[in-house]
Amino acid sequence: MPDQQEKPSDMDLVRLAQKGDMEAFEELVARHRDRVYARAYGMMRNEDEALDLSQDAWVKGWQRLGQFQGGSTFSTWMTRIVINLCLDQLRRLKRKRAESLEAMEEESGGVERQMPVTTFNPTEGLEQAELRARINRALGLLSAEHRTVLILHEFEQMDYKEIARQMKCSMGTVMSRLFYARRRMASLLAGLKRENLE
Amino acid sequence: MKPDLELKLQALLDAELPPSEAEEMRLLAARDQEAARLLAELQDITTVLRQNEPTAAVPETRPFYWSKIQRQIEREAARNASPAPSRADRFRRWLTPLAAATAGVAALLLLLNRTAPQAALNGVSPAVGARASASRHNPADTKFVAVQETQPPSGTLVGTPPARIRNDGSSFMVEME
Repeated sequence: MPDQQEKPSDMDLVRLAQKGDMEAFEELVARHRDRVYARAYGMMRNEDEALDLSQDAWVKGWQRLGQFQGGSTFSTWMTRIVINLCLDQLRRLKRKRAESLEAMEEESGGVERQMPVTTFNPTEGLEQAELRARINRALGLLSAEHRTVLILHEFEQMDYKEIARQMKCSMGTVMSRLFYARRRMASLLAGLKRENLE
Repeated sequence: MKPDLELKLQALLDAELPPSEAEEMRLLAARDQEAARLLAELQDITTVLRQNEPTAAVPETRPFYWSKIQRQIEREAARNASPAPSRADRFRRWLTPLAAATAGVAALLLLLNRTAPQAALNGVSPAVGARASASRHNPADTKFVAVQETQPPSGTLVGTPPARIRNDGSSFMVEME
């Protein structure tokens, strides 16, 4: 298709934007804005905050464009910027509020340790759109810390060390939070399926 | 199952264990049903999440979303372009109110010096004249002047003619009329 052949690649647009071409940058924003916004929304669970943080990420992206060398895709690079902004915001919010009961449970061993293992596939037979909606709902029921570690590991494919660095915590904490988050997700998805069957 | 074994099973799934420990965990999962079920559950949930990442779309139109980003970029560029105040600027900013305050105090002192002899010439004791001038700046002195003018000193008979103050150029003299 001739149209697709004429379409400049992300890297072409980045090179133009690095020279100050705002139109090229606007095209990059248009191409990747949903992904950047979705990551912010996934972490913050708040539309207004996700909008503000995703916009801040694009401004930072423009300002740091000179540092982008193409070691990763532009989309991954931008996603990392928005993740850092979300983590900063979550840290600010955490300082403002008291530790949740859920977090206290985690420190003392957590109820998920005593939870029976899910023996059936809680997602069997669901359409992908329905499954995504359920996963989204279940993610919203996790604490910010557990949701973040799950997002960074499962969706951003970061290893334990990288997550610990990003979240400024120990690798042991990452492992513990990830374990809790996975088991809670399995439990929540099974619960959502049971609700539907009943 | 012990918590550290659960975390090691998870680390096996995530390929985060050194080879020797990974083999140990594989053997545990092979002989222990509970370990095998837990490993399967963790594997399932990981697979489901990775294949079904929730999506979200920006709830604003492309031009509107971009216009906000563009404005912010331009605002920050303008802020970064304006030079930081130099040391001389900062000193000047601090010096101006100080100079104004000093000038005000000097003017007040000058006014007091000029008012005192003038008050004496007008038949008012220098002290009262000075206080009267200063009373605009000090409410406590205003009260003092009012007492001087309305109440005669104790021991003075009501109707006693007022004292007259004479100034012969070098000294003041008080005469009773």
